[in-house]
Amino acid sequence: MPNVDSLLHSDVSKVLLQVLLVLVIGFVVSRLVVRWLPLRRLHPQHQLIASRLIKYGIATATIVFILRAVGVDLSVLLGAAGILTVAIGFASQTSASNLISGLFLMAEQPFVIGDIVTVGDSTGEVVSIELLSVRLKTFDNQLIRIPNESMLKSNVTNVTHFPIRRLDMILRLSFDEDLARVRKLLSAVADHNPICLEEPKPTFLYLGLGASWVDFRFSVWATRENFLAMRNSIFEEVLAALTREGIRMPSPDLTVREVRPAPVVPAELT
Amino acid sequence: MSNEPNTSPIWWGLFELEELDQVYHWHVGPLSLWARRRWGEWWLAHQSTDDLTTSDFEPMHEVAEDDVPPTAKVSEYAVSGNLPDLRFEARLADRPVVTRPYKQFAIPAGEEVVLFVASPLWAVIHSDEPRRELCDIPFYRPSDTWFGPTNADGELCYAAKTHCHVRIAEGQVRSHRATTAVTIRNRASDLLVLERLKLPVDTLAAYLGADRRVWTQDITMTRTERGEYAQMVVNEEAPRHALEPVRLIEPRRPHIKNAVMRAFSTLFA
Repeated sequence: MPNVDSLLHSDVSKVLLQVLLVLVIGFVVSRLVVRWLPLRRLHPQHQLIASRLIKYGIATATIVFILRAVGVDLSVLLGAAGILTVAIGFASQTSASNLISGLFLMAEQPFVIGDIVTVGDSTGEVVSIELLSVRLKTFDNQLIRIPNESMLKSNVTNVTHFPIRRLDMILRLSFDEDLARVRKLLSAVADHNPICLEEPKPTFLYLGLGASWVDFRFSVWATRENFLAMRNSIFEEVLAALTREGIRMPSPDLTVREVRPAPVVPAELT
Repeated sequence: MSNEPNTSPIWWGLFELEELDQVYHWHVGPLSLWARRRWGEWWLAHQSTDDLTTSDFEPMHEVAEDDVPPTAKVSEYAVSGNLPDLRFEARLADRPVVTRPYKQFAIPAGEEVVLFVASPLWAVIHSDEPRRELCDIPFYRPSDTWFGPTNADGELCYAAKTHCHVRIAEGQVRSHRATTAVTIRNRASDLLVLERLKLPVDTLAAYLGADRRVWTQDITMTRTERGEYAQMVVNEEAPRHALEPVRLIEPRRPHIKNAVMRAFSTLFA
């Protein structure tokens, strides 16, 4: 029966001790590095990705040390890994492209978590920015997963990037209306609404003349937080003000003429 | 309550609502307030009008619950204390206030002018023992406005409903407004054509004068170079235009001493 002393001094036990030591050191180092690095300066999503990359890197180095400690010939593994890498590379071109696109998106930061973005036909709130994709939650509570490569190639509209937004109302008035009076009325409506910004000032822009009407755009501003509330309230107030002043939206004015053919006079038979 | 033409009633202080389930009413300028006490609960309602010039005042009195208009904003608060006391405090605006001169005027290089700006007060209501802040209500809700060089860069402020003047506003003192004396010094080499002025009212303290006018600390803005920036200095002493001032309101947030800030929105002369 082998005694404890011989067990402790055998090669196997030395290797086991080395392996254990490397595991413990690797675990402790990965924890300490993540804690000591100034990751708190990064966005929470970037903190998560950075800490994961650091932990995976240290775990890989730990495994390499352990394999060398137990005497595994790494050159064989590296050779196999090389062949495997080529195969995986061909198979994962899209994933690699998404991964690299994700890194570019993180560096450029066209949007952050919580922003409302429109990509193509999809509009939603950014709920996560992952290594391979961005996830949006639509207003009717659906989840859209957009690969990072698509995000990088597409026109992305960040609706909530700037602190204030403009609302455009297209209105139509008949030629009979006093346009100056309507402008004054609408300015008073905007002035009366406290969440409608005083500056930038509300603006009027005449868009064109129709068959019996004039189109114009009335634009007002609000903070992005108040935008929806202002949008609803200002439409109600504009309609109420126009109704109160007897100003109606014009209906199309058509003139119908009936054209009767000339009466047929029978030729006299001779 | 005083009815003298140049004084205004004091609306802040401690009020005892003796009866449970009884609605009490206050009316101060444009703001109407209602309160009702229940066991472990406060019910508050408020409503403002657009008439900023009104000096109407009704001290605390009992009303029927049906007298509360349906358009009033109502809120209820659960509290641990059961004392019948409500404390009203005055506070200044919670954002900077932007004002315009009544007429655009220019301040030549080397000149200085003193402007008087009015801004609305807020009524802060606390329950007592333990003291808990229940709500923070403006006497009238000023409009939001953006102050900055572009629509992407700037700050959200309130737009003062009244213009700034070079003389103290004449007529009756309003108990729901505070007045700030702003000295603008143009030490730059060009004309300053003043279009809009931003006052960091949220960083100021305020005093009550003997005439019951509320004065904030005096501000001096010194423009030393071309552009819209000025160095702002808040006078830590009592406002010099106030009669026998007594400190009434503490700042909502501390001001940065000698800060250089974008203070003017100007036209190019």
